[in-house]
Amino acid sequence: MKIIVADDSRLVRGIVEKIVVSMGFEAVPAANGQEALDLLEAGGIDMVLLDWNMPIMNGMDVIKTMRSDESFRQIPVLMVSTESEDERIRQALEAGAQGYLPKPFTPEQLTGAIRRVLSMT
Amino acid sequence: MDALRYLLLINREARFLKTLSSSLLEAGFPVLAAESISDAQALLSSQAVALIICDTDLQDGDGYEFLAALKNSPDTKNLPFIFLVSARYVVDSLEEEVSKILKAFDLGAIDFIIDSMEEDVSRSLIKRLNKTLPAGFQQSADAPSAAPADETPSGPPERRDSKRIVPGYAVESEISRDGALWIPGRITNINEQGLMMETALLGKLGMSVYVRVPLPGAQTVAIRCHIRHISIIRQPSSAEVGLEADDTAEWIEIYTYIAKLMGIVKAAETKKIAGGRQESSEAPSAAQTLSERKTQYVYVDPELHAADTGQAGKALESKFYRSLIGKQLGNYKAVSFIGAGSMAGVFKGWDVLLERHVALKVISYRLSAIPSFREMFIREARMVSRLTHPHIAQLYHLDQIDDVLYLIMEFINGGTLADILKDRNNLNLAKCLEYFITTCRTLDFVSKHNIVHRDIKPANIMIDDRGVLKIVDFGIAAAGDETSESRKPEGFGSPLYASPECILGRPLDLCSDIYSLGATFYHVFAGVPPFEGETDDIITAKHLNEQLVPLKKVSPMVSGDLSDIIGKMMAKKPQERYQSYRALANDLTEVVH
Amino acid sequence: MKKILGIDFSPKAEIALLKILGKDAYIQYEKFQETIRIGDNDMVLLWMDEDQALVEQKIGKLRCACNFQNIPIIVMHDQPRDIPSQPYVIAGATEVLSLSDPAPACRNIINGYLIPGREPLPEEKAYLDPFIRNTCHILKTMAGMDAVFKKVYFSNAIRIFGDVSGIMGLSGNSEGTLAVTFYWDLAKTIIARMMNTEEDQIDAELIHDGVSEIINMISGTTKKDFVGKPHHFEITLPSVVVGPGHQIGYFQNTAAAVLIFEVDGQAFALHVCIKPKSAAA
Ligand SMILES: Nc1ncnc2c1ncn2[C@@H]1O[C@H](COP(=O)(O)OP(=O)(O)O)[C@@H](O)[C@H]1O
Ligand SMILES: [Mg+2]
Repeated sequence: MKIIVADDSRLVRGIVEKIVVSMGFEAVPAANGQEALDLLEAGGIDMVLLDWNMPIMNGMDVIKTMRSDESFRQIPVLMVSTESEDERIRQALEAGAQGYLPKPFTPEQLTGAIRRVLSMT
Repeated sequence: MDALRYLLLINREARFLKTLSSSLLEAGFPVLAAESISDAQALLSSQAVALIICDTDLQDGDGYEFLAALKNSPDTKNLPFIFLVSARYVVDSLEEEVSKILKAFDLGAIDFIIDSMEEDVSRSLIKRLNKTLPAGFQQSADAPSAAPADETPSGPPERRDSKRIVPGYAVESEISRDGALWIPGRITNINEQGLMMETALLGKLGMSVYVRVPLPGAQTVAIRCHIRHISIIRQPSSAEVGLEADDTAEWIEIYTYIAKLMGIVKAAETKKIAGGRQESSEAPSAAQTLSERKTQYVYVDPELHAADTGQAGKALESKFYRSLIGKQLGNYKAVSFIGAGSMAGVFKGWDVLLERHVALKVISYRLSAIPSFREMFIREARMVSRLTHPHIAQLYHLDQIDDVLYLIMEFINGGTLADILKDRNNLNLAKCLEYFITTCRTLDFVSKHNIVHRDIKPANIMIDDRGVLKIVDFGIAAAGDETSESRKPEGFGSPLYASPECILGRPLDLCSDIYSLGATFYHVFAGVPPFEGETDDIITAKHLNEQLVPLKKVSPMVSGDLSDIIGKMMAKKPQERYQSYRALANDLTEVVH
Repeated sequence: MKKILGIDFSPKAEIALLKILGKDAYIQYEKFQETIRIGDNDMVLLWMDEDQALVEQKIGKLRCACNFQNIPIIVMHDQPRDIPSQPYVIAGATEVLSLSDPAPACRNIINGYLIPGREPLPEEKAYLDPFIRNTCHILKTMAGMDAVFKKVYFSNAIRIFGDVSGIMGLSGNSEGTLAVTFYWDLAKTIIARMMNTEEDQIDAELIHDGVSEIINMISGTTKKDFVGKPHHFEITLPSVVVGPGHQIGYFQNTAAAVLIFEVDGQAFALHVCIKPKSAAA
């Protein structure tokens, strides 16, 4: 199982990658939305963990691109963001995210969210 | 050519003049000294002067204006002019200091020397003079540092010196992450692709940031860059970042400007202009000069700044008010600072027991300490506290901390007429007339209680957030039957609206308030105060002697009737004004209909 | 009785101070030391006897020793000329006074600073509580650390005297600034705990990411709590600055609250300056 961890913060990538690895998955880091799309192009990706605010290309644009592309449409997305207002969560889910986890989160909350999203698909 | 030509020294400090004159005389320079611009002008018209050495602030005006006036006259326009300011008066931020220096050069000064008090200023001055004045100018040949003169002041003085100064001081570049919060950043290197900057903004690789640089001609240009390199140089206080600039016209402008400056810096022989904080006698390079800047403030605290630049007494008063921010006096919390006038500092306050907002007015500790003032003030507050009127800020309570008196009064959530006047778009004629009449009726009510306000001015008329007018500051006015003894020892707050009898220190009655009310609304309708001037003395002299320009002339939109009413209110002689508010209010109501 | 720590005063200056403050003032005199402790003193008076850079350094050390507590540091001198206070205030001093200023002025100003700080108003408590709650919650969830809110004081500016700060500009319904400030050691500890790694692994980029993430999360979660309320705001990009001596904004008609927290025996501060637009004076 190969999961993209897209976040502009090396710190958050570090935290999330560790948790992903502890679940027995492989984590591939991306520092912005464009890098995430490039990794998707390269293939073999099973899930994307996405930050909202990133330079070059933000998380919302990544979801929109993925959902309009036949080959990525089925890949589940979990949004992880400090944007935690209901309105924002609704926007992300409408755009095609399968899950939304507001920061701050505990490791348990993140593993739970990843499992939930994976079991949905 | 005159046989003997003088250096003219102008400075408001007699002692400074004396010491400097004697060292210059010792060095062989013929010197004339003046303590004011008028003295200097008298000397200029009677003596042959070869060069002027002048302070920026003088008793009767400022040095820049004096210089501008000299440059405007064909007789004096080629006269070399050097600014010499003592560092104790240079309390400006670097920005301001630079802009002053640049202004001096723009006006045509040939040098701007700051007496740092760390070394004998006469020495650097003499060096400078030897370069400026023709050889043989000095009377005796054995002057201490008579270097051969290499330039003569023939023709208009060129601005060669400005170049020397610009690189060191003028590049106040800043960096920002979000375009809102700007942090100072020192440009250490530059090429066509980008620049290196030392800054406290901790970025990360790839991050986009904005850089802004003030260019000559007062406009500041901002560009977007990306961080391509970071090294922490003085952990944990600053980093050096390498920035790649977006290729835009603005970037080219900045690059051309900075690169030129840096080229100049390296080439030119830098020379000390004696900045207040430079200790080494070595000529500092521009880069060094900038790196000496430790200040990392983002915005200058105007309150702090006022305290530095204001007159000593006022500065101490505002230091005192500042000490009370975030404190609790008795049952009242000082929530935030609103402003300080001539006699008090005003805070937004909170009544802990009644749980409501109040205005907390802390009276100047100097006034509070004067027994006769206290007595008058308390007596007055007693009377004013009995006034209940929808357009008067109600007085709630009077108390003291140590000896310092403070008043608690109705809090008015809004601004003063003075604030509103700053943005004239918010005013319309009908609204102003309504304010005028309301103020007039309120003062009528007050005068019936034998109270004279004494300080009617736009800053004492407030409009709350529901548009209701409230007159404030009755607390410091004196009762109508008082004699001149009870006048505020400070004089009067603003001379712009003061009546002639108030200026003369005579006993005041309601006619004085009527004059000030007229002056206040003259300002409201005309957009300018009735009399203006550089100094308080000039303004008060005009109130006493100068004929008022009729409002109609200044503001053709207002009716002749209104102009006449204000004219009558502002008659120099009290007996020629309205003698009652009733009569005034009647005339005003006529104008409305 | 208020306790004052007098540093580097000469016997002559001590006498001058005694004249100003009277015999009732309790002042303990000491020489400046790198390891100086402020203890339970209510105020520090520092004698300005050497060059500016050195005085600024001393101020910096003293401010650091205050550990974010609102202890006034007043710099005193006897030079007859007016000394601009700005550089000293930026360095961490509260005020600069001259012995040649009139005694009543000095006495009143010093006494003013000795008045205890006010507690928040009910309305201030209402908007500060979510910040306090969320800050503690973030440290608990992300770093497993128990932060405790200690104290709040109010100022008219955000003046930063820590080593590293995350600053967030607020816009929208309410305007203002939030700033979280740490000393280097605590910042490293927290970030290492967040990443579940050793402190020596923490480099400048991680400090940057960590501090900006913390101010991001504080703003983001609290913004959510303010939905539909006058204090609701929008956030922009966080800026991270290093070093003390930044002054961000100056507020007339608004108070900036400084919330002091303690975690692992070390303090950090959260500056909250937020002003609903509708309540603009
Ligand atoms: N009752 C009040 N409620 C709210 N603000 C007030 C009140 N009284 C005065 N102010 C504000 O405080 C400022 C300073 O007041 P004051 O000391 O009277 O100064 P001034 O000499 O300019 O009238 C005023 O300009 C006004 O903005
Ligand atoms: Mg007033």
